[in-house]
Amino acid sequence: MRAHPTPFRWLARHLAGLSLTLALAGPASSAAPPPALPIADAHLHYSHDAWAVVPTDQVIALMRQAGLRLALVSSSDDEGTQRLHRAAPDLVVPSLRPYRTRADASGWTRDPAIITHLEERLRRFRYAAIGEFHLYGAEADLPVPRRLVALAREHGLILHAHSDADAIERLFAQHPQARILWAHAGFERPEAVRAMLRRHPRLWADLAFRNDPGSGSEVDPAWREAFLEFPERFMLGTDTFTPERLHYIPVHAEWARGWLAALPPALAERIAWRNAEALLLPVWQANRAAAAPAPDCPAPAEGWRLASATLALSVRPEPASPRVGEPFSLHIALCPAPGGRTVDGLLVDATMPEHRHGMNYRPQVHRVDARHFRADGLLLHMPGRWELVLETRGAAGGERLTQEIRLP
Amino acid sequence: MRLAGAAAGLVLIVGLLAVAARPSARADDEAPAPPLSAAERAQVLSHGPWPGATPADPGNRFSGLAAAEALGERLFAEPALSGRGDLACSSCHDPARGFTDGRARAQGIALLDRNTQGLHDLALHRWYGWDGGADSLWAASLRPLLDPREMGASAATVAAAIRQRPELASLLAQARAAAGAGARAPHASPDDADLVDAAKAIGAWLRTLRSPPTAFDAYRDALARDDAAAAARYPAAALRGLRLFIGEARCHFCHVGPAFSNGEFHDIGIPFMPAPGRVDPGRHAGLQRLLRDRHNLIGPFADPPAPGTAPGRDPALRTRTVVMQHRHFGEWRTPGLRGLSASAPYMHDGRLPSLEAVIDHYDRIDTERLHADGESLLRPLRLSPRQRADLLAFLRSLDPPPLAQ
Repeated sequence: MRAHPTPFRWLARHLAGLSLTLALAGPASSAAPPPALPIADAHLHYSHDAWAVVPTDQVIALMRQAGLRLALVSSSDDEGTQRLHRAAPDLVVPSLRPYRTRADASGWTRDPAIITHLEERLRRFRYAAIGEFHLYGAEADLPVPRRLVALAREHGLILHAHSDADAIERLFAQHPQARILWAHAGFERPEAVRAMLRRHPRLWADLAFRNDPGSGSEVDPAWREAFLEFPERFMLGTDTFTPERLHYIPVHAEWARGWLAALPPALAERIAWRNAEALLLPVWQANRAAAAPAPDCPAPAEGWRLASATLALSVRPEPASPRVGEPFSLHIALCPAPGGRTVDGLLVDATMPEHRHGMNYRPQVHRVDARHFRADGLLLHMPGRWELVLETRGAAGGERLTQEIRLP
Repeated sequence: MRLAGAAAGLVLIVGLLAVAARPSARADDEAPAPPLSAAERAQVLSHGPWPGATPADPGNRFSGLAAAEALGERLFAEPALSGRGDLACSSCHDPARGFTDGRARAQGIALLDRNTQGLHDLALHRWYGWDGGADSLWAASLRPLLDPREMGASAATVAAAIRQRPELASLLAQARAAAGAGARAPHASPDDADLVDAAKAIGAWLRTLRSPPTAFDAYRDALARDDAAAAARYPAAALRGLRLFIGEARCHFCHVGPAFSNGEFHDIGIPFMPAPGRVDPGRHAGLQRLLRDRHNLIGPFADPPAPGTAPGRDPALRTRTVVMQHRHFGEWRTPGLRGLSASAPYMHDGRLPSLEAVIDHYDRIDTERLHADGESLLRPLRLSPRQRADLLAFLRSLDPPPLAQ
């Protein structure tokens, strides 16, 4: 684990002094309750280990139950974000996390493959932000984070940075026009957050996983000062860093409503949702309106298109008509469906199901570029029905696509 | 290793002062371990002495009264308390199984989400249950009685069970006579008063359940009195495991003190989804329940602290000052480690069948499940086979000697 404890230690020390009142408790009333304050949740994840245990429709239901009107979602890997966005495009604003699994959080700054991952996703999908990423101190100036910042600049994206103040300074030094959403307000004390917001007019802060802004129906005095000085720069977030925490989204929203009610209503609305919408929606709408990625998946004139729900392959044999006993090659283009799987590798084989055997050769597969593979050395040594098998490999799992070939 | 531990336990039972001529329990042929550093010695001493004093059950005027303890013991095993008349506290907290049931998840009227916890040494804790939803032993006894999924009782069924059994009614009358009226909510019914006093009697009895000294305690006490010969009887593997426990494995940060528990709540990366679409929020829900509970230490049924108790020593202070935090979602109370072998399976939902599996968990802990800015204590231990065996030997040295079980 990383050692960046100073702000958190401060937080932990000061938490002990807070009194607790239940946000969920409220005075009994016979009148119809006023509609719940809408919430924009600017810090949600739906990572790979959550997909099976909290299905997409359940996540969306939890968001609706919480009264969310907007959710900035980033996931490890990005497929989780795409699933939620497909299920609720009215609600989910996608952010591109530079992680393929959460394990990347500890080593991504020195891993050039992260850039390949980002570039590939940016070609295929639209986002409002890059993040949430973990970045501290001088690591912000390493080549991989620098390229991430450059990508944000090229695509007009917000940076969602889980960082100390030093790294925030370095990000602004690299890209003075960046818009940075400071995750957890850096776990800094409110006075330090205010100092940063004064220095950087294009810095916003989410309050995810912080207990100190408010408790029950009270707002911490130091945070109240911060909110009053910067009414347009703070927003809420739950931080669903484990699958179970997706069920915490409604609980967190209720908790936030409890202490927001102690603020002037206009200020409470800003923190609850207006600030997030003001920051995120213009960027999201501009990016969303940009030309959609080209499908770039032509059905070859001579060959096959193999497809599943999340992936399509354009496969062209060379020579165009394989013959018994003659080696041939395959030119394979990946045509991922929106939200499809990341493909890190490809296996190529062919079998004769009725004969219960396959080829006597293992084709060599080469990656030509991010989207193209070439397989050499296929040889079908008997006439009859063959099944061409292409299996993809990726962090989120693989897919098996097949194509029948009948040789006279 | 187990034989060595058992031998040490036998030695303990027949009398520490009489063992000088007995053969050493050390079965290993390892070279002697280097002496403990001053810091290690201080750390080992902090896990004793045992058993030490037994604090009173807070808010419970029956605590320490013999009649109440006798009543509590009877009520604990009395199925008539339950709604259906067929489940007693002891149905799950089986005294023959270390007051647990050996099941992964408890079976009351319904199958529950959590593992049945043992009941020894509870008086040393400040919160009760995996989620700390109670702040006293009597309140912790009330909850399963009234929970429709557990015993499904009501104030009426409990009061009737006592009134219809003269011996129980007599013990309750004796306890009340000895303790005085105590607290009573302004509008509490007689049934409510009987229910609460029944729970207080059970709490008074649970307070008396203390686990016996162990091989570890013999070693710790020998260390305290600089008795090298006695200390040398502690098995070498257990000693290596102890040093690992207080050293690089860093177990002692949470498993502190004589009870080997800090009594607080932590997330060690154990999933907490008992069924699809449903979470068990652990401490987060426990704290909410505690603060809503009229049977907590700041509620009308709590008896006042002893006269002269300084405000800073009032046990109710913890309930007044406890803070709800986001991290509580999915946290569980650190269990004590004494008598662990009897309380398998392990973790809040009993998902780990053995101590070996528990060590496996810490050996390969999935730090991805922990918040990046959360507690940075946990990391995969990546123990060698010998280290795993040593840690296990140490944990088993916390079991009661066989004759004491």
